[in-house]
Amino acid sequence: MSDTAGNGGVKSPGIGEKLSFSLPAILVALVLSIGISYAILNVVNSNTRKDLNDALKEQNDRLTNSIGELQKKHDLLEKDHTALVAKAKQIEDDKNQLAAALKATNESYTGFRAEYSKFVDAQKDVDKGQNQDIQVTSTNLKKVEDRVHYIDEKLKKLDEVAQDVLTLKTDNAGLKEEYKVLRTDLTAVKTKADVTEKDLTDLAERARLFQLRVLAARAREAADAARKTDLKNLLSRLEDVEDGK
Amino acid sequence: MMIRSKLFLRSVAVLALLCGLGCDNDRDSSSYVGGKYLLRPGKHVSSQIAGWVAVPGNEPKTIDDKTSGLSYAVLTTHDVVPSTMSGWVAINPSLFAKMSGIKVEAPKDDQSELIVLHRGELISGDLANWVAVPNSQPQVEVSSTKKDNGLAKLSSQNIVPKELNGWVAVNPDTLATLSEKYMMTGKGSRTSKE
Repeated sequence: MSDTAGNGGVKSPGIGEKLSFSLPAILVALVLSIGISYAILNVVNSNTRKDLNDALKEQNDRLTNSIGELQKKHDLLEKDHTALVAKAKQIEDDKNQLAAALKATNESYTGFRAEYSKFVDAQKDVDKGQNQDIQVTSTNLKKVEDRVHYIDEKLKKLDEVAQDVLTLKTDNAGLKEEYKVLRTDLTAVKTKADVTEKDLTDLAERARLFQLRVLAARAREAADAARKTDLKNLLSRLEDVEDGK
Repeated sequence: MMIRSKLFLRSVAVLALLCGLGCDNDRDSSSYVGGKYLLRPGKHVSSQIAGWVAVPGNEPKTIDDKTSGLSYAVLTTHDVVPSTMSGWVAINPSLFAKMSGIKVEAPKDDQSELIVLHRGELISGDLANWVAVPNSQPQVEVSSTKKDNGLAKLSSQNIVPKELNGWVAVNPDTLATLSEKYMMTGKGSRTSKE
């Protein structure tokens, strides 16, 4: 009430009146702003959608291309895989064949080895038997050779000693006779097949005793030559002992 | 013994007579002593000893080896063999060593030559107390195969030549013993039992 009195008697409109006068404008402004916003948003949205669609399309194309390439590669790989599988199968077959062949060879080799071992064993037996035979034969031969050599040596020595007997000037009939008997016995033993160790020992002892008798006779003769100062004869006797007769 | 002495004295007397009759006293160059003619310096060589040789008159000395029981004498050049060693045998030292095991040392050889006496030659003073003996030397026997083995029979008045210097003289019995032993024990006496 105070407000009307104050403005010259003109009553100022109230708030409600003010609102009732400005509301249509506000509504119009609001509608306009909403319409404009919508238009703007619609435009922006359309552009964005278009861009998105383009991008999506492009991406889809690229993806499709990639999938195509992948498909091609997959096909190639599958082809290669098929070929590899075929080859692997071939290799497997070959391996099986080789294994079979190897097994057969191995079996054959085992058999051969067994046969060879048998052959070697048999050969060893044969060799052993032959070696034993050879050894026995060699031993027997050596024994015979040793005996023959032994007796030959004795005969040789005896003959050398006999030369002294023949050159002795003193009475040596007994020695000569002994030499004959001893030589006959030695020759007989040489040709005897079953000569024993005792036979040889006896003969060796007889030969040794004979040598001693000859030595004694020779020494006596040397002493006689010395007493008679028969120097030539004495030197000859001394030569005998130094020559090792 | 008596007979031998008488014969010896008679021989001396006959020789003295012969010398007295047949020789000029100026030429009486020696006197007969003990089987040798002793030379007198200043005298002339007489016809009896012409061709003989003059030597000092040394004789080999007998050595009695008690270890081996052997008696032997080592000869030196120009030794005169005495009558007591007549018939002995000289042995080469190496052979003697083999036979007896004794190694003897050879005396030093004086390298002198034998002086041969010629008739009428003046006997010099160097020959004082020397003797004149016939130039007879022992006959050496050498082994045909072992040249080192040598033996020589000695006779009275033999002169020991240079070749026999150091040889060993033994009597025949000793030589017989040595020989017999050597023949039974030497190299050639081995008998085998095999």
